[in-house]
Amino acid sequence: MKVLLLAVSLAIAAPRVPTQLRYVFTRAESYSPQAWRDGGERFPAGATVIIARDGVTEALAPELDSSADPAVSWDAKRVLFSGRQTRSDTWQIWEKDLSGGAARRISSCDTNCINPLYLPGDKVVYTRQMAGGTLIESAGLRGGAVRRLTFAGGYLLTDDVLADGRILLEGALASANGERRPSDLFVIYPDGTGLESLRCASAHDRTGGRQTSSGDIVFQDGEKLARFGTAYKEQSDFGQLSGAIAPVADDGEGRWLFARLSAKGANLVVGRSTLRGAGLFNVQPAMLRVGTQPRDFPSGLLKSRQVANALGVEMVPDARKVRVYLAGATREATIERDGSFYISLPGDEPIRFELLDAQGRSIASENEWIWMRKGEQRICNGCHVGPERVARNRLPDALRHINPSAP
Amino acid sequence: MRFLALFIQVIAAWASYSDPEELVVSRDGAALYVTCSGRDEVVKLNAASGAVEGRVRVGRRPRGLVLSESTLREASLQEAARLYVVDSWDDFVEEIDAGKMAPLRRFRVGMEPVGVALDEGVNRVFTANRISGDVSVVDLASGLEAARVEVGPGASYLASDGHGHIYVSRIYPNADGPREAPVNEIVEIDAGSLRVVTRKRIEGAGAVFHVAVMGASNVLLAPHLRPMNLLPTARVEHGGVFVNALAVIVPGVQAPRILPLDAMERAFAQPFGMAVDPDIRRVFVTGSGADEVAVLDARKLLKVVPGAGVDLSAANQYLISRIPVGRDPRGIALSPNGRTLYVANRLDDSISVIDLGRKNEQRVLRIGSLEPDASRRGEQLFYSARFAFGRQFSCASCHLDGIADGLTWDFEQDGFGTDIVSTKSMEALALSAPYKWNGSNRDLETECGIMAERYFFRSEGIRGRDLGDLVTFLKALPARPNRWRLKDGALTEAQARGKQLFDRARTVDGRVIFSPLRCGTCHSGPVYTSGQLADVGTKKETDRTGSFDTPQLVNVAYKRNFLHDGSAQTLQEVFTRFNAKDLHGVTSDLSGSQIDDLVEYLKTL
Repeated sequence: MKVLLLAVSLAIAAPRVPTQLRYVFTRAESYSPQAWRDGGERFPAGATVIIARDGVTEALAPELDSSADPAVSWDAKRVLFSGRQTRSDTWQIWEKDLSGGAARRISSCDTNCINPLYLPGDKVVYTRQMAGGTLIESAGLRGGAVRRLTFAGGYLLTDDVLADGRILLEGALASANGERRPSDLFVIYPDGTGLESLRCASAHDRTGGRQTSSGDIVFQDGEKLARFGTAYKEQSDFGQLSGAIAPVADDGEGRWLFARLSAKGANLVVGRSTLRGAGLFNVQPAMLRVGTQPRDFPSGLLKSRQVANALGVEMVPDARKVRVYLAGATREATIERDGSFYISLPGDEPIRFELLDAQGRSIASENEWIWMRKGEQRICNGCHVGPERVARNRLPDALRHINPSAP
Repeated sequence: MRFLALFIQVIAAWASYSDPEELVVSRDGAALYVTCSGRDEVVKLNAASGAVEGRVRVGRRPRGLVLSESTLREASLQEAARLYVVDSWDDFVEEIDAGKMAPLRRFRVGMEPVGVALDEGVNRVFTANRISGDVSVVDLASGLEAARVEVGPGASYLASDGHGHIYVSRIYPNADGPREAPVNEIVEIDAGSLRVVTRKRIEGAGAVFHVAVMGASNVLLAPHLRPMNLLPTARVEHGGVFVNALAVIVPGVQAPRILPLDAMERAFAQPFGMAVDPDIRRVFVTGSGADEVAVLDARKLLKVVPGAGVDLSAANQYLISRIPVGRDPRGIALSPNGRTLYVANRLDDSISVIDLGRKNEQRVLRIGSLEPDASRRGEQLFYSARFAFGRQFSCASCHLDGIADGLTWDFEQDGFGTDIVSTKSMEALALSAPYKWNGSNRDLETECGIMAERYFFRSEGIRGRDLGDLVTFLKALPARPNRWRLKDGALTEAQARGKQLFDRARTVDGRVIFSPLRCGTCHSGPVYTSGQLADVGTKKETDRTGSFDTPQLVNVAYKRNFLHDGSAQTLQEVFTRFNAKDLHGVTSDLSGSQIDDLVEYLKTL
């Protein structure tokens, strides 16, 4: 009866909805979108995922005390979300079949697990909140082993799964000096390899990234919405969308649904229609529409190898050595005359690179800890070279006489 | 009997896909001429209605074609216009009455002519011959091949500036060594003196496709592939395997501008054909792997100042739009008024007709009615870049036209810098299992399926029924005709001497050659491979093993390099420079001329 009353009360308080739109969103009395970066609660007064279809809104999982972070399956038949049964529980990952039935719990996290996303192959990726940081993990929708994908600390949050199969993350990697870094957008493959920032860094926090059907990635940059087009290395801003909060949801036909801050909360806006929020925060919209499944990713990790191999090319001219900081140790490799180096490193551990000159002085040092997976092999093209730059096609001196039997 | 043979030939042609490959538009814009390489014919279409107005059978695998213009200027004499079409498998250029669609004459040219150009000032036709690596010059007045101009391996496409200069591109880069960066070039030939005037280098270029002359300033445009074959192919992002680019060659400027056609996260695979509009405002490029046409701002192509290296964000400065078309778009042509664009979609048997004045409104002319079977679907997959991360490349980016690129690569699965291998030829593939140079893939399903998607595409690859279709296509790939084999199966004297050496069991001085060291022991069977690994003493310091898959030898003469790592540039080198210890057969007792005889025989296989 209590559940029924809640559902009825939500339906009565429902905002005006264009009947042709079908979507889900999170409604809450209070919302601190970046609280997760401090280990805090984004929805301190709880939250409810609302489904809006055929002109009716209702709670997606009224049997739960709280629900948030809805993500729609590509066939638009299921919704993943984070939820908890009672206010004292940890957040877990749940899935709801829209044809009926109760929500099904996916995860068994001993700490909060939030922001789930569908991955191809009946898998899910989500963010686990830990003391002092977060982990990104993947798991099967029907059980199976939980796989850890991040290995260097810091605060990273699952934002989206891109059409090319990569996972879009927001947040900051752990810094060597402990300073708080602005939030930025990163990508990894579903096996945890290939960590890199999506574009060069911004002075503002970049958050709430989501790919639209055009291929652009739209996100929040400080107080405004911005996007990365597939052809552009720089972001372009949406000045006219003041007060908008990422993520945005698009309907595949150029219309966006997004939250916009109001005096008392956040309204959902689509085109010229405002879905009034009655003093609540109506955020995290996602369209209930059939989409294209992202490309599956075939992991190419060399499973026989316990180490990761890094090839650097086109290092700065004065660099003579590369020093890699590990947990409590360092390793070094010579930088050849053509600016290349090759080094094997332990996989699945935090690492940090530094370039040294002929006198052993530091001339460039990464401030952030990163990782490579066991069996991963990567090529780095210079330091702080933008993703638009293609490495020169030449045989690196560092590979000319490599020992083929080395691990 | 001749009638029956002709009948069978006609029926076979009609049961084939059309494969529209190249096209030209008549000067009055009324007719469209299309080479259909699958049906060995040229089709004349009404440009307005798409109705077929004529067909003419030509030799096998027609590709390039060019239309004489001077006669067309005399409008009443349209019937006198001539088409020149190359038969890439029969080594002819054919002269066709474009009005009546009737064959007139044909001229023997070099091996595998692919492109053709006409200089009416000197009344000569030029063909670019891929296998013989030269340009044939046919004097139309005498009907004789006036000259062969050495161009270099893989000569393929031609353009005439109409003022006495012919420009030639090549699909194979220069080979300075197996681990040197590829360099290709556009070769300029004086149509009168038939001398090579300049060789315009394009550093880093692998295959170069069509070349176009942009306006009277003689700016050359050359779409090409920029392979990253010297770096391990560990990641596809950031142009990690191929950059698909346009070289803009400005007269008097030493180095061409290299302008990527790829966007940062969406590549434009295999740029192939080009058209420039009459007022030189726009350039249109087909992406045969992208299934799109890129529309470029011609003026901005000349203004962009690229920074050092290749900048994948540059394209937004000159790329106007990308227009989706059919599968494997190749030839492209504009109507004389520049308002209508025609694109030959080779693997859809269709022509896209794009109205540039009406927001690129598109209609499709069908010139074939066969439903794709498994092999055809597999061919479509083979040429499509949609499986690679960022759509950067397709199978055909390395296996150009289903063959090979002549390059060596460092694939990731064996670690960085180790096991460098050359791209294998795909001729006679069905009978040459196992696959890969180390023989680790027992069948094509493994080679093209899970291994390709893990270590080449780095994205969801070709699976399920698609994979079966692809393998069906690969197994059905026909070998090109062998130019050294005599028609009656006989051998020349040199070839016969070479065969004796191939089959011999004793050295010149009478010592027994043990069976494992006889050529025919490993190179046995219908395609001259035993399917076994063999150590022939070619292991390099970066190789993990010295045992390699015995390659098949069908059309071995067409290969650009030899041995597992492409270290031998000629077949002679295989038996001299790389066989000092007589591990690759016994050859140290052979004289230079005997080695040549052996090679002459190998060329017939």
